[in-house]
Amino acid sequence: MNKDAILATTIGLVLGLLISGVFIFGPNLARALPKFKFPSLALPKTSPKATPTPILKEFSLSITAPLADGIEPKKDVVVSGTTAPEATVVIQGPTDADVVIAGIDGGYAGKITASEGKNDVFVTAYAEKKQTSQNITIYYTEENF
Amino acid sequence: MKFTVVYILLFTALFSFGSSVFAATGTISATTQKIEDLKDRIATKVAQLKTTQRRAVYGTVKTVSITSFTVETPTRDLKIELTDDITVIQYLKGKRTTLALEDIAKGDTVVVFGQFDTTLDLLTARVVFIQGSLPEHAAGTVTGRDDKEFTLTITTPESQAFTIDIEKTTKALLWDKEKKELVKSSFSKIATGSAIHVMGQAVPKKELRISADRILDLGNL
Repeated sequence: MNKDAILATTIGLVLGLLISGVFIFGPNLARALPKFKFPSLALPKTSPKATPTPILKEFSLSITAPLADGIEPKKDVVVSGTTAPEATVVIQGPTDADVVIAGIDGGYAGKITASEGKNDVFVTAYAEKKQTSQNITIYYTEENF
Repeated sequence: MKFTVVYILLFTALFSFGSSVFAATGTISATTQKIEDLKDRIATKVAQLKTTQRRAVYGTVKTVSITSFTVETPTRDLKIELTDDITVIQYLKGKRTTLALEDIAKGDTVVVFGQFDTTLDLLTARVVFIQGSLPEHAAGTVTGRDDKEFTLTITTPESQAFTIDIEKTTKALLWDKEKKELVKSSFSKIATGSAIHVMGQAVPKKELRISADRILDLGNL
């Protein structure tokens, strides 16, 4: 038989016996030990914390997909990201545009069609009479390489 | 008698356990070998991908030679290596046309698709797309309209005033807030105060003037 296997079995058996011993005799041994008390530590009293003034989140817009300067595998490109909840988001591609309403969590996704070569994609979000914009460049070719 | 039975059972159990461990050890060693092989293959592939990656570069052709050409990008000049299996594409009069490598000329605006070697800082071209003029984009609020000249004036959030030429071919779309969809529109329906997005071509020799291909009217947001 493999030496390693015998060794592993022996170690397993010993460990098993040890664990069983702890379970069987452990509680009685613990009771027999003298009682030990942890010393109590007095921590300095802290003054009550001041309530922070809530910082209003700025109206932001991010594009999470597609990646900037990436090569798109397909003509149809899904543009997604996050902005203010329920904002109106305009996604403008070189050949068409899409308008979507962001979700309660601020997530949005729309579809545009890429043209061959360089494509500048402009995303603008409108909410509460404010607007913010982001743009990215993506590339597309019909050729396989 | 009882003890003998117990001993036999114990011995059998131990023996079978040991055998199973032995058998399992053999299987484990074979599996471990397979995992190690797979790890090596993945590591090799990752290393290859780290050094070469699919990339596209946009710029102007600065120099051309038989084996390579240089593209001037907004940040730096990049050497492009030419191979025999390069496809050169250009849209001529709206038709996608395949050209020869010799058709790439100095001053062309191109997008080069290929494998970029990060260690050599070299792009091996696979596809060269000769790019036409890129569309201009402007977004802002309509601050004026000329019904005789068919122009709109829009002011961007950066306070830039663009003049938008409405052409016969200009397509206008309106965002229907109720239905939450885009519907066909026209120049006459675009009201002052509306937020609009324009895609079109820059009018030569005139600053901040766009000949509109498409207008997206969002209404008064």
